[in-house]
Parts: sequence; structure tokens; C-alpha cells
Amino acid sequence: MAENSSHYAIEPPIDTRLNGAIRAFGGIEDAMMIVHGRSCCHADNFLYRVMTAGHNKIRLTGGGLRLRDISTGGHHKLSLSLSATYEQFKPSLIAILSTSVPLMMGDDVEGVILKLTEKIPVPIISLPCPGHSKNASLGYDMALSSLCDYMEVDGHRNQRSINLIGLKSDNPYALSDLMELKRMLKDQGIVVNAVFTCDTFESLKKAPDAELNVVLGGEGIGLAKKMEEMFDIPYKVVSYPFGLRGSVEFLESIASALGIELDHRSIETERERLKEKLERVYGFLEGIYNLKTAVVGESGRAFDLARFLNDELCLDVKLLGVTSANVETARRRRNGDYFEHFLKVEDRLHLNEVAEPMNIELMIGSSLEAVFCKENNVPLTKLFYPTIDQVFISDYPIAGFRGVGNLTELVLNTVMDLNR
Amino acid sequence: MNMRRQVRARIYQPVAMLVHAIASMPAKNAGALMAVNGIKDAVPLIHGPPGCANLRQMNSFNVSNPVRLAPCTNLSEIDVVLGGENKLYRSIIDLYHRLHPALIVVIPTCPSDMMGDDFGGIVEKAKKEVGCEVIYSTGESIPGRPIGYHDVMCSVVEQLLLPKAPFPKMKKSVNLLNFPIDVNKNQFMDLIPILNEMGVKVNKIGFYNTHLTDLYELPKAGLNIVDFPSPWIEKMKDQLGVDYLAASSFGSDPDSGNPFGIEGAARILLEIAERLGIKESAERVIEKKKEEAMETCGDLREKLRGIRIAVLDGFSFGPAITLVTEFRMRLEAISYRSFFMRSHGMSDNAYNQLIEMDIEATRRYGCEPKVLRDPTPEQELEVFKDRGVQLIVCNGGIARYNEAGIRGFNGVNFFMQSMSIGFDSTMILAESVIEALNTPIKKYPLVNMIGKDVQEPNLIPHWKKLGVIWRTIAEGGDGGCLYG
Repeated sequence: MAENSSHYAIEPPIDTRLNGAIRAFGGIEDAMMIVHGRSCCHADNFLYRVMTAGHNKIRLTGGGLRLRDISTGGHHKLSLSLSATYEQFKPSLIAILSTSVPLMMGDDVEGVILKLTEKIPVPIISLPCPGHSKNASLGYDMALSSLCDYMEVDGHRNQRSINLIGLKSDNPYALSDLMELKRMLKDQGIVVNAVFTCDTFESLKKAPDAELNVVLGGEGIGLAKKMEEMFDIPYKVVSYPFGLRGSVEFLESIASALGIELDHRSIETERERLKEKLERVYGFLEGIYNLKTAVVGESGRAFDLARFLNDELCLDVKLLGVTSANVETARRRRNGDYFEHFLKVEDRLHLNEVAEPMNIELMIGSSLEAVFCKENNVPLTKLFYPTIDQVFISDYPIAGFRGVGNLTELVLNTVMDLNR
Repeated sequence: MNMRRQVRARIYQPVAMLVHAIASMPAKNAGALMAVNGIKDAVPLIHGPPGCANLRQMNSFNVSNPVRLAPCTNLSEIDVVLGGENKLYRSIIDLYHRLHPALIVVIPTCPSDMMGDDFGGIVEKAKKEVGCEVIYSTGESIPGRPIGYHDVMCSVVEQLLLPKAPFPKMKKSVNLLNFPIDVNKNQFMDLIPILNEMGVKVNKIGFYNTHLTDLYELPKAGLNIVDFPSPWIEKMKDQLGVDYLAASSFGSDPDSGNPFGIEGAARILLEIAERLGIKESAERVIEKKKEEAMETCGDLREKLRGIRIAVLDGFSFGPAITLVTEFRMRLEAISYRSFFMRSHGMSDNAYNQLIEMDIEATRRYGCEPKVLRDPTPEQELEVFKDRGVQLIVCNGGIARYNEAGIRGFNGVNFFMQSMSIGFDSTMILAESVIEALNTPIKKYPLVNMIGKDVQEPNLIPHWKKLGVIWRTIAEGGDGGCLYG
């Protein structure tokens, strides 16, 4: 199997710096983002934001550059956008994400910010995000790291308090996952101080109060490193807690880093609850044994989900396709024995060419796998970004202890569906 | 159109409205991809970096129906400096060998436009290496909306059709063409059996299972019947001698600008006959069909006659005018909310003119509606209740009216998904309205728990704020539309 597409014409996965930055800032509940560029850069990202974040949480607007602005510069439109954004939302933070056109024009974004400092008395962050800059994980990292400059240190540390880094609020089931992780940690006497990013700017500024930074799946490790450097807060990279084993390991890693003992009684209770649920579907669990499965998604969650599906649910993960890599990807790939083939997806057409001969019986992916699955008659469970044709408003975690039963249910219901 | 797709389009419609006008405006590539998507054996090739292609599967023109393919030339930072011509050349060849399309349409992006790549030269060179047609869309100089659609279709005329001119002509033949939005596959389908009876040959229907070979056949027709006037249709007239008839003309005289309803369809058919020089023979057919339709609609008319309606955001464009003029429903009130129109960059002057024309049209049909301009939701409901309104022809937000005991009919949804030019469509409209009148009122809608904007009660305050920001940029920038 060709490791990578050697093709010139490619259908790229969603893996740009701009997308990563939007997903990072998008989780800050009282922030606003301005995509400074032509209307297509804004409209496309706006559409995906509408489809993956809450309709009342679309905190993204544009710079509205037109052809004529290319000769005169985009500073005037940017000023208008900044002023109107502040006036309408009174955000605590504004992030300007400059795309190809203003960067090629050489727009003086910093100058515009300086000019408006008095009128707009909140932090304004500016990040270059041209269309050719790949790697959403890096964009995510850059955006998170830029927040360090605004963090407040008052000298005290909250014991048994951690920050979660790498939780993306627009992932399917993410908000339920967060509630479940907080519940599991609370059972162990651990408090979540700030969540990067699914929190207010005010809370994020107080991140240095935590004792430990916990980096989920390696996403946002740049922030953890910078905070270690600036505030002397250690960090721990943990797996995204999919499955029973993943959940226990998640707690063990954090407890070990904090130097505390785990309460194994609560874990045993969770194990008993899960056992009762699994007994109710025993026959079907036997039925899906070694089902040929493909997992396609971001590195930060894809490895851990593949491990759960292969090692615990006993599917046969034939293909692990990673649409966006982070600093952990190479290590995870080397050490992974729970998938047969690995593919860093650079070209979605190539992904289809690779997956087609594998006779996949179940795809775990995003809405972007829908066309392939429809054309190849493969059942699809959507657990990755972007899932743009489902809503997630119920309390239904797929991570943590409660997530084990829910994931099992989702997989079974997908393959059993008589109406498909 | 299949039912599932129609339901999906309905669900996504409010979101599409937000994305496609109120709080953002997709640029030319969205329209260009819709055009290429309308040609079954064509494949787009976006000449730009991955950031210009990676979100392209969702298209705000048709949010509920993702675009199947959106490959790109994957320009890097180095290409932005050194030029992307080599990548474009190799990508065309590569794409041909992988997907074997009949046509590749190269779509430029902002970076490739700014770099100044020689599209024409590269396309000509690459064409020699592949067994398919290759064209490129040119960019911003095309007037008309949606700009990307016109751009691609102008390229079809100039790069595919003109080099093969002259074309043999087929007498008494027409093409039926509208924007391939795929929600309503073609607005002229209902006309086909009548045109056939009139002795008119329907040469091509665009875009309906349209292939490259169909595009080559387009110039054979004597007349293009189109939804709106557009640059590529003008080009076909000027350069290939195919005249056109535009069925709709937004903002013009409703008697001549509205092609819907029985009268509208008859008028369009007569115009077609006149243009093709068969007026005398066709008149009898049209009159007969019109009488049949009138008769068929007789029962429906009796059911609808005298029912009091109110209309939101305009009478003369959409189904309301047909309901009043052909089914004798009684127009009691019109409520104009300016926010949506102004989101499109329409000036105060233009907006006021449009409203005046609309009100004038109601009077022409003997109506004396109460006119509301930007009322509060309470004021609006009070007037509707005072005037005994039984049904509101609206663009969503029916729950609010239901709670006040009034039924609603989503005219925008009907217009987008079901409204066609022809006699059958008129009957379907009447049946749909009767269905709305018979639908039980929802007594405790959960959706009414959600806070709405005071001036624009279909928008939550958050959406309204996003809309205000977008409008500020548009108006403050140059006062015009924010397309392109």
C-alpha cells in the first residue's frame, strides 16, 4: 500500500492552520474571531462553525475583503469589523486570523490593532493563517499558546487541580465527554481548573492556578510547554480516555503525576455498571467480533479510539487514517499494535483508493466519509470532526466510563440498522 | 426530487439563510462548484492551496447536499512565490488519469489570481496530454450573480462552444435552463408536455442529468428559456445567435415579471410561441390548456376563496400573488422587515422603491392590505388578529403565529423546493396551502422558548448581531453588495 499520495491533484483533508486556530479560539465562550480575508475564507469557515458548534455559539465573523480592497489594502474593512464586533458582542478577547490575501498584500494588522486600542479595551490577538499553511494541530497550538501572555499569576496553586488541554468543543459528543471527565476526576478528588478550550477567557487566564496541565492526545502540547516555561507548571500527555482501559489509564496517569493514590472502589463500581450493560447485548458483541473497520480522524482522538475498538470491542481495525497529525503521531504510530495499516491522509481521493480494496465493513469517521461509505455500502458511525449532519445536545459521552457503553451502543446500532 | 432530499433541504434552510446572506457571503468558488456539479461528467480543479479547497464539500448554495468532489492543485508557500503553473499542468493530467472525467474545469482562487498564473497557456498545453476537455474560469470580471456560476458558464460558451461554431440549428426548439441549485431540479419541467403539444422541441434541459455532450448541443436551439437574465446566456445570444427569454424579473412589473400561476405560465408560453413564430397555431393549445387548468383548479379555488391571509416580506414575488389573483384569497396585511433585504446590501432607496412597487401591485389586484414596516412581533400579531387573518404566508417562524392561533405557510420553502412554471405547479401550490390550513395548530411549541430578535423574529439575538456586523462591513466598505 502506498504510504502517501504522490499525486499532484489532491482533495485535502481539513488540516489547515486556520481551521486549528478557529477550533481553539472557538471554544472560548466569550471570545470573538475575525477571519480577515476574502469572503470565501470567512463564509466557508463560518458554515462549518454553524454546523459543528451550537447555533448560539458561532463567534466568528469576517473582514469582507473585495477585489478592490486588494489595491487599497484591507485595513479599513478590518477596522470596521473590529469595531462592529466589539460593539455587538462586547467580547473579552478578539482573535484576528489573517488569510492569504491580506498576508500577500502586506496588511498592517498590528497597526490597526494599535489604532483601536483605546476604543476596544480588550486583548486582540493576531495570527497569520494563510491557506497554504497546513497542520490544524499546529494552528491549534499557536492559538492556545498565544493565550499565555494574558494569564494571571497570583502565586498560589490549587492542590489536586488540573487544566485540561486539547478538548475541542466542536467534536461530536465533546461537551458530554467533558462532563464525564469532570465527573470521573471529581470521584477521585481532582478538580478541573480550566479547559482549553471550552471555558471563558476569565477562567483560562487563571490557568496558572492549577497544579498540572493534562494534554489530551497531544493536542495543544505547545501551550503546556510554554506554561511550564513561564509558570513552572508540569504537564502530562495522556491518551484520550476511550474505553474502560483508556479511562483507567487516564486516571492513573493523572494521579501518578499529582502524586496521589487512586480510589479503586469507584473504578470497580464503574466496571460493574458497564458489565451489566454489556450483558444485555452479549450476542451482538459476539456477532461483531473481528469486523473489518476503518478509523479516520484527527490524531488526538483517532489512535485511542482505534485502540478501544480493536483491543476492547474486538473489531479488526484494518486502517487507521489520520487527517491531522500532532507531535505524538509518530510515536503513537510506532508503538501501535491495534491497527493493520496506517495512513496520514494528505489526499482524500487517495484515502478512498486505499480503503476500497480493504472491503471495510464499518467506517468510524466524519461526515466527509459519507460519500465513500454510500458508494461502497459501508456503515458509518460519525465520531470525528467535522460531523455536520448530526446534532449533539443530549448528555451522551463517548469518552470515560460512561462512554464505553455509549460507544458500544453506537457501533452496534450502526451495523445492525435494518433500514440502512 | 426525492422526498428525503426535500426534507433535508427544508431542515437546513434557516442555516443556509444565515450563511448565505445574513452573516456571511460565499464567494465565487461556491457558485463555480455548483455549476461544475451540475455537469455530471465534469470535475472541478481548484487552483489554489489546500485552505481554498478543504472546506468545499459543503456549499452554502445547497447546504443539505454536499459537493462530491473538490480537488485542488495543493499550492504551497513556495508556489505562491515561484508560481503554480507547473502544478496546475501536472494536476490536470493527474486528475484526468485518476477520475477519467469528460471535462475538467479549472477554478482560480485568490492566491492563484494574485500570482498571475497563465491559466490559458497551461490549459492549452495540458489539453494535449489528456483525453478530455479542459476549461478554466476567468475570475471577477463577469457581471451578474452568482458570480462563480456565470464565470464557469461563460467559460463553457467561450472555450467549449465558440471554437466549434457554427452549429446547425434545430427549428422551433428551446433549451430550458436554470441555476443548478438541485433543490428544485428545473423550474420549467411542467412546461415540457405543453411545449411538445405546441410543436416546440425541447432541445436540452439544464441542469438535469446534464453531460458534456449536452452542452455541445445547446447552441442548436432557437431560444433559451431561462429563470433570470445572465451573462452566459447573453453571450450565447451575441456570439452563437441563440436568443433568450427570461421568465422572471425580480422587482419589475408583477404582471409581466411573474411567471408563476396559470396566467403566468400562459403568458410565458405565448411569449415562447411568439418568439418562435408559431403564435397562431400555439395559441389554441395554450388556451385549451389554460382552460383545463382553470377547471381543475375550480374546486381548489372554492376552498381558498375569501380566506384571509397576511404576507411577510413581499407580495409580488413568490406564491402570495398567485394565491390572491388566481385563488381569490383575501390579502389583509403585509409585513415588511427590512433586515434581510438590507443584509444583501440593498440601499434604503432601492428597498423603499421595491416596497412601493409591491404595495402598488396589491392595489392593482383590488387589495387594501394593512401595511406594516418593521413592526415589533406584538404589533404584527395584533394587526393580523384584528384583520382576522387565518393564514400567514411567511418564511419560517410559524410557531410564533401558531401560538397566537394563526396558521402559517412557508412560502420561501415552497418557492425554493416546489414552485415551477406551469399549470400543474399552480395546483400543487393550492393543495399545499389547503394542507397548511388543515394542519392542526401546534399549541405549545418548544421553539418559542428561544429568545428572538425584536425586529427580526426569525433570528435569535446572536444571529442578528452577526448579521449587523456583516452589514456594517458591507455598508461601511462601499455601500454595495458583498459578493465576490
